[in-house]
Amino acid sequence: MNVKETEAYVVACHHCGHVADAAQSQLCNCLGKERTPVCPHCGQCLCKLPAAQRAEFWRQAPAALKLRRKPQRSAVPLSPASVFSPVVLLVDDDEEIRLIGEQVIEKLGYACLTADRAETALAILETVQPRVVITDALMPKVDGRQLCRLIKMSSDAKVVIMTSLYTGIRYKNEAHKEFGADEYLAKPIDFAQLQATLERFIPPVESVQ
Amino acid sequence: MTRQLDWTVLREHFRVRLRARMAEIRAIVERIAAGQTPADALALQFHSLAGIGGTYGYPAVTELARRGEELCQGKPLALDAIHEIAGAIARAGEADSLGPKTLTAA
Repeated sequence: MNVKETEAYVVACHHCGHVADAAQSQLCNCLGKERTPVCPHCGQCLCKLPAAQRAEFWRQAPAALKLRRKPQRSAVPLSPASVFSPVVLLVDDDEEIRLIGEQVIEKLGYACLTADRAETALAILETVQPRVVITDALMPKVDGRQLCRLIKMSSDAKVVIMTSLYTGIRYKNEAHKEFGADEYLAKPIDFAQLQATLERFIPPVESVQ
Repeated sequence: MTRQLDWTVLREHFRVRLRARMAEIRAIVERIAAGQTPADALALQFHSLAGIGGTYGYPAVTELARRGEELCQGKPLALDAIHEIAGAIARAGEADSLGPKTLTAA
């Protein structure tokens, strides 16, 4: 397969006319079927555009931008095929980690929800009971370690903390004792370790193959 | 069964985001030089990159970002060295990815 060179996707904002590269823009967090680029000038997103205009925008959008548009806050599993799959909630403020982590976890046969911050994760937990929550340790405001404590107070979910702060077995035990985490994963993520961890908490017979 | 990711799209997304992150790092360095921003903001950027690089199969990005994070602890901040690290990260991100540690099963 030929790799298409990444092109700038320059569009004019429907609201203020500011011209910007939508491929580089932040995406909104509106509650809807998809996230849309936010104008860096006026802060408006495309969610209120008529459906036909949004469809045209996405028709011409580069693949990398299309990949980013799945909503971060969803109270239900995202793909019909995974309705009966055990749910894993991935919490990380880095979009790149959420993107690749979600794909990997779904390829392993689990339903994956993602959240960009602890507050969003807690909102998801009010309606969904994930079997495993994988959370970054270092996040703004409420960090993963505080999130772990909060989850352990009210849920049976296993909690895995991802961190590059703690490496090695010596710190693993401290992470568990201090925050109640069931496991920790070092960053950069070793997906073989992630797979082994998920299969330990959710045996493969339970996941969709 | 071999489990495949949409690796081409993921890699392209990583590269696009890396370019945006490097522009952000350069902007933060300028603000630090002007005394407008503390070094913590830069350390956080390098910290994020250290976690992301190797995850996408760019261990060189992780290694360089960790050096960048260490440089942010220095007083005074070695801005020239940080500029060099940022340039090296940008070049490392344009190289071919080694790919993630795979999920293949025999």
